[in-house]
Amino acid sequence: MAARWRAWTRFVTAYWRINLAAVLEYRASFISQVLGMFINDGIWLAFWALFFARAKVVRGWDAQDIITLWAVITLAFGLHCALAGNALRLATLITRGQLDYYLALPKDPLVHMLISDVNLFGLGDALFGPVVYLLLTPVTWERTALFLISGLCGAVIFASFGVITGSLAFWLGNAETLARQAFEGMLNFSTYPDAIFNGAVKVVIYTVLPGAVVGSLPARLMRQFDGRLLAAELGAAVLFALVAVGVFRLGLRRYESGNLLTMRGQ
Amino acid sequence: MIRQWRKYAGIFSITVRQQWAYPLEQVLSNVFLLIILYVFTQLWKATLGDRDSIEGYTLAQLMWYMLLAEGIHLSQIRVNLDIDREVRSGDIAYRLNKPVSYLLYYYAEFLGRGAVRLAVILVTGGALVWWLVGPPPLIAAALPAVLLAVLISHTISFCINAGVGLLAFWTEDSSGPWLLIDRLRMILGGLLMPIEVFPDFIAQVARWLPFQYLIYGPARLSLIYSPAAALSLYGHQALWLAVFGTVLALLYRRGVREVSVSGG
Repeated sequence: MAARWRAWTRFVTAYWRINLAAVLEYRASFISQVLGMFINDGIWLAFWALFFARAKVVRGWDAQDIITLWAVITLAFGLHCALAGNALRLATLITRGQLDYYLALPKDPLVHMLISDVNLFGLGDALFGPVVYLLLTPVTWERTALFLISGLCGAVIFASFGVITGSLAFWLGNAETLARQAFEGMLNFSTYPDAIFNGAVKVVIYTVLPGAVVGSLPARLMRQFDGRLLAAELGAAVLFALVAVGVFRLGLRRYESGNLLTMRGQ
Repeated sequence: MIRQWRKYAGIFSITVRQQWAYPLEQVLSNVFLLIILYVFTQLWKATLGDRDSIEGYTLAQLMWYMLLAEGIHLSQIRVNLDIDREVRSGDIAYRLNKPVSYLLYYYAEFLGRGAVRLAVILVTGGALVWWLVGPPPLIAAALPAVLLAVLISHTISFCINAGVGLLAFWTEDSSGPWLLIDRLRMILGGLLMPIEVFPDFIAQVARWLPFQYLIYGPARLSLIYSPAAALSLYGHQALWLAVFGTVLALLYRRGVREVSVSGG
């Protein structure tokens, strides 16, 4: 068991090292993408700064809470893109029969598929989140630990949600647009405080489109530590991961090879 | 002269028909916007609380403003990507020897794609906003004036977008300048909220820049219309159109000189 665990760890870290090396090969492009995301995320923070300059407090949320929310979201999204970059491409891989490559190899196809690519756009976010957290929010050991835990849980939930929605392609065929829209919807909801929503929508953003679990919940946790919120966050990450694995394996039974010849250079 | 313009009218017409080849895709591409509109309705409701308005804007005005602002912004197609790709790949050479102006060809296509996008956004987004906050506070007399302001806004935007695309003649990657300009347009152009809601200092800065005449100006005109306001807007838009149009023409003239074609 321990040997198997070590083998998996070596496999996963080797892939991450290769992906990082591939990304850094084109340095100018990498820097450009990172700067681009800094500008993009920075503009949204600028919007919130302008907004709260007028509004001051919105249902208990102030500018500090929003900055914390954005720091966590961007870290979570960035980690998910860096470590499981293929999650958002699952629907495409299924539709084009490109899962065959992973099925023919001895490693678990889901994990192998997830880690075999890195999403460049998220790398800027992975850097932006910590920079914002360190420069614009109060930094303590407790908050830093919660920040990192929340980022990791958020990354797991993002990747899991990508797998769940991407797996719809097993049943629906071409589900690329649906999967993308669902993910963008979840991402969108994650960037706004849950306090502005009521009723059924609030239930949705904590369950079906778990944006609030990735954004608002950690922001609340970092404002005022509550063991129950931490347990809920960890539990949600585990639950979504299990559901993602289950849905993927269920869908894989329906998968038919496209007999597509693929070549991969690593 | 008329025959010349009929060519571009034909390009516009074909582009519109192409966009309508997949109507469901046009509608589905708006799902993201519908979510944004819903979220911002909740955000403004929570912000207003018991107040009727903020800086003179009621909830209904804020949301109808946002719908038109988003419609204008999203229908200003990223023609810079197409031009950038053509310049880098050399395909521009195939277009230059055609009996149509390169820039006017893209302008006609830009308007065609933008017109369809704007129409779909206004219909689908309008239905949602109407359901959320009530009917639009727009008077019929304002409609032609607003449409003209939107058309001029699109023309200015085309000059900016195409100009960024032509930077491909000299730069490795024009996406950086594009991103910066687009995000400045979002924030300082009043995309997400009217400029009056900005803090005073930022509002002052925004009023000196051209971006407000692209988005904020036409959107505000739809809410608070007067012939004097319309004429003032057109005047400012005309000034910036002259500036960006000149820059675009100069970039194009310099850029085309960089093209060398090898026959074979």
